[in-house]
Amino acid sequence: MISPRAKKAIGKLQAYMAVVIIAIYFAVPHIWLIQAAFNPKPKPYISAFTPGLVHFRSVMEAHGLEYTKNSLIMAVFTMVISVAVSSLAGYGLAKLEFPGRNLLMLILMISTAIPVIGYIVPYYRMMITLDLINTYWGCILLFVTGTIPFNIWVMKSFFETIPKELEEAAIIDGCGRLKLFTHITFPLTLPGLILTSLNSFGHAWGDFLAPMLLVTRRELYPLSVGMVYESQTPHGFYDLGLFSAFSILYSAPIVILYVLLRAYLLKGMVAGAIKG
Amino acid sequence: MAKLKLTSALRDKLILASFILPALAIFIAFKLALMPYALYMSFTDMAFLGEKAVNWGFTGVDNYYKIITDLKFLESIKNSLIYTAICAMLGQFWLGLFIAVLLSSKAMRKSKLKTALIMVAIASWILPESVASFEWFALYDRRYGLINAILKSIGIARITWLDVRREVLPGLPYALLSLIIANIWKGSTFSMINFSSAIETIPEDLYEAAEIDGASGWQKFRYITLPMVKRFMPLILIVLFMGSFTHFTFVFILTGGMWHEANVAIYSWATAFKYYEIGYGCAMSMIVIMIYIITGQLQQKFTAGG
Repeated sequence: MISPRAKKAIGKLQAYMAVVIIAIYFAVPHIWLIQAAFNPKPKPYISAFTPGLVHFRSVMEAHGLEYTKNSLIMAVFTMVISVAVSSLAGYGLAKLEFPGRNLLMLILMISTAIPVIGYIVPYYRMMITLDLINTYWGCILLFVTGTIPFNIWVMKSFFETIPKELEEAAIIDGCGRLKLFTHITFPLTLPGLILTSLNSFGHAWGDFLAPMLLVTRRELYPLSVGMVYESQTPHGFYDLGLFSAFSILYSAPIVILYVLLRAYLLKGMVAGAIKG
Repeated sequence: MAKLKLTSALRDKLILASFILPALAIFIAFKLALMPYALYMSFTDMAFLGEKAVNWGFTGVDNYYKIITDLKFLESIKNSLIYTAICAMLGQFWLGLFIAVLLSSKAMRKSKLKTALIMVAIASWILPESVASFEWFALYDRRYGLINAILKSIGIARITWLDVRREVLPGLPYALLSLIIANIWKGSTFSMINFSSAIETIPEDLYEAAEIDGASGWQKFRYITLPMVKRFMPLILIVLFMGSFTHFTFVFILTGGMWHEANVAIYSWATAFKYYEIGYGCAMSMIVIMIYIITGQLQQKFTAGG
């Protein structure tokens, strides 16, 4: 017969062991990546080594900075355009009541489910017609389109939380719509702006398929595509050291942004989950 | 005076409407309007290169007929379905719930382990897909990979993890199993976060009352946690489904882009951009969109019913 106290201790031990096992499962690939990036051997598998920056030097030789610049341009333009048009639209949709508004929101939400692969062929033909293949704009427009629905949705729900009385009071005091937007509403929705900015930046930064298809000139590759092409060796294999160092460079901005802004991110995500 | 007020209200509405327009215009021009165009192209034999790039014509439903007789396409659909079912519906969904429940337990409160687990789990979630995929590519390496090294040390023969020909179980090649294990790792955090925030809304005294009545841990899960988080399940499931069914980047990089039948997204990419049959590729896209719409409808039904 096991006493209740012993039973409780066993339960606790089981829980701890489960957490440890899952944590190892999640941690091992990251640990591997970090050790590989700093392991100067050409085949950086787990073994004793003295850390070195050989692979990072190869990244610089493999046009790493050029790709980073391209990625930054695409991501920043996507972020600025997407957040600007979506917060305007979110504001309009929150404040203007018109028949079919809910239908419009529904269409926006449903169409986010359509994957890029579902319309990339007509998009590609359109870009050929507009002569936007091999430009930043071909990718930026696709990223903006891809991020607009979520961003509108987030911004709309933020604008809806602002009390109507506040706005009415401002209007009575002779404040126009535009001034109201820039002076009262906008500052109050800062968390929403941070969430949508991160979403757009991360989307553009992380995408691989679109630039792989829409950009064929090496000088215009973003990091996502450049790092894969530079590290690829024949027969579907990769130069592991080079790819690891590229991966560290490529993940760093995302990780830093996440650490700095995670409070806003989780808040927004949770709000979204409960609303949906 | 009354007239002036009316016009200013109208002006107000016009300004608001003009706020909506730019986003809507971009969205319609670069996404919505392309759907009918893709549908139109799916009835032609258009190609990117060669004679059919200029002299294409209507072929009616030929492309759709070709799809149902295309064994490779059917294989890619089969792989997509297996991948989604095991990886998203079973793996990511339940592992996410399991971790969320585990972390909410009293034993884990204020524990450093909890913080560590959340950190590494979030790291796999926010990392770009190509990086996550590469990490697993290296672990799966046949000769030097960590997984085979561990297997070897406990006396099991090396496994070619990314082999697309040999099957673990009938219909499940090794490569697909490897993709599933890797993607459970990548995608469980999403359901973990959502389930965690759902569990946080459960009032503490429900558990306390159950404890006084002598309920076991399993009973508390089965009769309190599960019913309380049930309403979040359809939404989480649909997001996981949509993330897995046409998973491109992750699968593409892990298989080196060499396995075209890995899933339906990769097969339709290969059809359109490797073999340049864009009419046929569009027909595949239409099938994918149809599958998504049907699944979305099912989700709506379950949400309404549950």
